[in-house]
Amino acid sequence: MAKPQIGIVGFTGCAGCQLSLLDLEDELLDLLNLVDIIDFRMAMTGNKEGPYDILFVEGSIVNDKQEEEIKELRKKATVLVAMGSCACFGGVQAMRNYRDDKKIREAAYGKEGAKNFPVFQVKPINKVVDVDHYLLECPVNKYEFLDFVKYVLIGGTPKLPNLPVCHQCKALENRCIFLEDNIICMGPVIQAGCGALCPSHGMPCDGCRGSTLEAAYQQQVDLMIKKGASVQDVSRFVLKYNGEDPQVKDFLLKAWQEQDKNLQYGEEEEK
Amino acid sequence: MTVKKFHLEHICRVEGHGNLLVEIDGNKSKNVEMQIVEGTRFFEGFAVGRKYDEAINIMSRICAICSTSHQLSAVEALERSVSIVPSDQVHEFRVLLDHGENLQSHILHVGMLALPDFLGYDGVIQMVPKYPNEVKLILRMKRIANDLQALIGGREIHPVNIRPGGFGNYPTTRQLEEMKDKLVEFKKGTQTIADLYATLDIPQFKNKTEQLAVYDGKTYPFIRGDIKSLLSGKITPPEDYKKDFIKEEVKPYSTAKFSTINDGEIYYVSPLARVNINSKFLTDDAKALIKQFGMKLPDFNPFNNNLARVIELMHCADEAIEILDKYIMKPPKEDNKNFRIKAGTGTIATEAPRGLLNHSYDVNKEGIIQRVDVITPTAHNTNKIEDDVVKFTPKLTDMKDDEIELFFNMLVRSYDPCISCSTHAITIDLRRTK
Repeated sequence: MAKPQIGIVGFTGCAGCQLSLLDLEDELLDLLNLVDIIDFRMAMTGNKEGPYDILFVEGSIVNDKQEEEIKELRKKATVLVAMGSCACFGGVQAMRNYRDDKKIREAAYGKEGAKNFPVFQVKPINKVVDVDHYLLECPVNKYEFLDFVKYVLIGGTPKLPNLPVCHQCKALENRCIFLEDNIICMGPVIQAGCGALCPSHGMPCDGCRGSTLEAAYQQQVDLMIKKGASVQDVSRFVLKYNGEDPQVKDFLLKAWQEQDKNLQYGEEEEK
Repeated sequence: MTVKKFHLEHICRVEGHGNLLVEIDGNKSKNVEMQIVEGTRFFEGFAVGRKYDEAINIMSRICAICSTSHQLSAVEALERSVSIVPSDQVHEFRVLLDHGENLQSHILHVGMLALPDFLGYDGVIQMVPKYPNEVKLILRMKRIANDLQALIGGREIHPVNIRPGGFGNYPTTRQLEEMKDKLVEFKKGTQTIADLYATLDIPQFKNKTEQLAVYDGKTYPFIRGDIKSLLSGKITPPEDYKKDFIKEEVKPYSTAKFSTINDGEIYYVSPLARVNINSKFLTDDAKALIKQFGMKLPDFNPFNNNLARVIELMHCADEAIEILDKYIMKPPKEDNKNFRIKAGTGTIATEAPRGLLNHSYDVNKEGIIQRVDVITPTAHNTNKIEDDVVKFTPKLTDMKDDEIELFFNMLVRSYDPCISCSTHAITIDLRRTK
């Protein structure tokens, strides 16, 4: 079998997912025996723009130019993989979609200057082009990346376990900081796979992997309120990395509109 | 006279998206634009309204390579805002974590991003067949640096273990001992890298400009201190960074701001600035490298940033071993987790691997953030990069076009710009909206 041709490209984000791949120090050389990396601007010069057997895309789409670029890249890629919170769910910057974007810009540049930076909604990759697979976490879980490449090489289809972070946390016999210490934790509704990293350090789950399938947000919020969270606390906890996660978005918009009629989701048509 | 136009689009082997436009007329540059074209994210906008303890994790997403610096700067500045005073032990473990990041970022830069230029390769991946041992050593050192970050911070990128007043949990004595052994190995590797760099042909170009670095008069500081100017000797407390000192302006071709000091003076921040300003506080083994490289301080050659990085590899490894030794003898105690918060302002100047970093916050008495201001190293340096191009261009007339292109690429890379950082460096002052 010919070596798969791999591209790794980044749109708007912190470049942490690309860096995570460079952090595969122990596996990198073996990996290079199995695949050809033809495009990886962060790591090398002399890049080829496709065609790609697999294209890994980091970051969110924040302007028209990027939207055109990703559409062109999609045409050159057999398989397109969204990598990390920004590419999958919009990332932290998607919080902006829930605020008056125009006001933020005008405050920064004045009315005239704001025109240089047109209002544009932060979009995860799947809002612009079809995505074949998602690799989660902020930054991307490098072992999940490695697993994905292995599956592709042997011709299988990788699947995500549909389990909440709590499942892995319990298996590690961690003390439950949510139930026992009243520290608000997103573990019950967030997709497992990180090995309950934050709770294992005595810190609450921050929610960077997005929702599990059919996540019980209402029950989660009821429990948060019972543990002393205010309505503002709840919105802040739910809306962090995953502004464009459909489950988060549906839940928040419904809940907020009940609470406050003036709260609005950013307008898309204004450019 | 014909005008030659160089437009280096999407410069490789840097983090983020940046272009450099240079128009050369005869032997002079006519138009120079360092274009930072990374899409904007507006961190200073959406961090407003967040609680002080959540913002630590959010601010680190500004940049992956310096995520630890952003978290440490955020936690230290936010602690000042709400009047939490962390213990000495917390400070020392923060320094230890920060050194993990410095080692990681520097070995990534000198080993994987800069070295291919000097040896004539596209990237480290292409170096594997000819330099297998060097590449293996670099990967091993990078692994060790990441292990240190993961041990203290919980993860290599975007640490999860930092909270106001201390850490989630501390490593065991056994883990600290294992880490120490690895760092001793790291130091040996650093000497090998230093020997390699001592043989490289580094371009000799000087541009004497002001340089800034954090200074405390006692140590080689990364986290706490004032801002010292190298040439003028001026010392500015971190909270006065914008008071008649640093000024930012917007240029239409770039999403990053351009800054000057003292009304229009170009300056720069970098590992070299740190070595120039704080060299006497380096460890002995690090000082020995200055001699080995034959550097005369103060040094004004931006390409020597790479040598400064190697010197800091040695220094940070030494200091990390010292801190580990201390806590192997006397295991860390639990942090105090009960504190009452007050409203206030907190401003701090720290050193990210690529130079000076400013974080400033206003927090109200409920702990909700009201104002955020961040100036990142790359935003400090954009003017200086353009100035270098203008000053160096007349000396490049004998070079062929592709050599000039490589030279400019190497010049930009020598600043190790992390561009995703710099783009959010657009101040959004939400207080002005009303």
